[in-house]
Amino acid sequence: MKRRIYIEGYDCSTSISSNKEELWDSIRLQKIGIQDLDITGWPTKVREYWSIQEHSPRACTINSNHDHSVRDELVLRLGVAYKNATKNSKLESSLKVGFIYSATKGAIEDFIWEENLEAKLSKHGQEVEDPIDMVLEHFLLENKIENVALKQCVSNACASTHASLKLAKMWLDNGLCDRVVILAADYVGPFIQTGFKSLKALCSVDCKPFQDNRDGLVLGEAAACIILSHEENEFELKNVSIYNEAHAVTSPSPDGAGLFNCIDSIVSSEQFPELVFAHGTGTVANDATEDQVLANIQEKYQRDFLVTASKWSVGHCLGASGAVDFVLALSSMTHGEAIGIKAEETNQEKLKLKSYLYNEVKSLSIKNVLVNSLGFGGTNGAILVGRSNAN
Amino acid sequence: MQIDYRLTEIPFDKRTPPVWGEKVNRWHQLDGESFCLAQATYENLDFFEGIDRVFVVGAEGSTPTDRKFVTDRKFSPSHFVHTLPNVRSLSFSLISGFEGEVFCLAGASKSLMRTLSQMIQLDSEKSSLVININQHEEIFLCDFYKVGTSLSKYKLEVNIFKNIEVNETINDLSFRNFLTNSEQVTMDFNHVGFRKIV
Repeated sequence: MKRRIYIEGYDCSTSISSNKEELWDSIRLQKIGIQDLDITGWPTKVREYWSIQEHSPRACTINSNHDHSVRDELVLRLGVAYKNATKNSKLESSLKVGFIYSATKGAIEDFIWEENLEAKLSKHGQEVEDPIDMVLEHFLLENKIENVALKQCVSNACASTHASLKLAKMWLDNGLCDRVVILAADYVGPFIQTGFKSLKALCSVDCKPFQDNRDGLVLGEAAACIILSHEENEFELKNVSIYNEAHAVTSPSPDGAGLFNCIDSIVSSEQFPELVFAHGTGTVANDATEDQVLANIQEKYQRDFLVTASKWSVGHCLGASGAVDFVLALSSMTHGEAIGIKAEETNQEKLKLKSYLYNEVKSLSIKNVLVNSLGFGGTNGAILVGRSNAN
Repeated sequence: MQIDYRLTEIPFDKRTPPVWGEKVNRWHQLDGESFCLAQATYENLDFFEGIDRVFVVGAEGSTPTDRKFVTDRKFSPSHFVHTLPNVRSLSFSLISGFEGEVFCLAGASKSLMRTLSQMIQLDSEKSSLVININQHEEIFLCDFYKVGTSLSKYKLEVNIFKNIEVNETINDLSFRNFLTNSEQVTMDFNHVGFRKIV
């Protein structure tokens, strides 16, 4: 019989907060982290591209030290989250610790715009620095971490945190390590911002998850740390699933079969969430699919639940987006409250589910929370986290 | 634990529509890695039965495609979308029909060794497929490794002696060289021993 997995520590920073307590307080006050991006240091070609766009680039970014490389900036942010998360953990006494870094593009901005990069690219066997792996390696070095039993970098787009938690669970279930540290962080620079713009995925003004007049997502930055172990703690990772569907590159299957599969495989009548943190990017396609899936789940299980989302406030934090929602899920249980989506219009006629929470902070007895994700390439993920004494 | 493998070398040539073209919408927009993975998958369809989960690795990751996006005259959305590693894995899924757990992993020149050394310690009831994609000029090396305990056919036996660590002197290229070198039967790195079934 597999041993239970508990959350031993967790923390994150975002554009509106430097730790999980600040995140809760800020989102409760409906703070929004969107700001105009300073593109003066961006490559000329990119600045010219943006000069002819209807809207200038905006994102929920963390104020950073521009003298740092992106790699060092990410390592610094992760270091703070790691230090906060490990405060009450028994990490130092652990013999076998696994480290997983969850990211979409890591420190890519540090080198991808170099003039003669082609000359340095691999010709079969030469050493190449990977923009994600380099962040993990430098993090371990900077924090003088030596007892590393296993390490891995996971890049499953928006579901990277979900895939990281799944991998961590596999390691713990099989006794490969007795603790796993999951780090998650991405950086919004010219590559990422311009890339999503080219996909026509960005919103014109604000991100409006599950609102009829939504028109896209806003990118965000976060740095998070989650520590898992078998040592009993207040919260438990009940289950996690990932599922890649073979449908299409940039859109989920219309019926959301992949996400339904994920959720259906980890919830049950006995273990059902009272609250759902939807992926809720604010794009037309994502929210429509997710709405359909959640309506199908409600119909199958004949159970009510509230749905909220965080990207209207902190943006879509890419490889860390699942981690931010994971931290908020735990905070929701800690405070016994669900914080609604900030919305101008709450009568959402086009949505099938009618249990979205808008604009209010609702007191709620929460035993379990579901955290969803869908991403490009047909990647889907679902996490069920709950109180460790709940059924 | 056992490993079976298929090593492929696929030239990147999109001049004629591929036989699997109907299965992949907009196949002509695929980058080299995705296109050649699709071709390699098509050529080895018999290899993928009984797979429970898939891990996709590669030394360069998506850096060559990232670079194409950056050097485009106009920023092409089809180039950007292929810079996401999990989009690459979609080629495999669309051709093989596999749906389920897919992990996309980064790790530079040791990503394969790191992943294999972890896979061989996992749940022995499940069978894992590790896909390693690398580029050598205009040829893409798309290699498939099946890891399990009850494979009907296998080419490597793996023994684990003590703790698993990635040997910093061994990288993915030297492992591939070991597999293709008929003179060498065993290879050790730290506490893992690979033995070819002759």
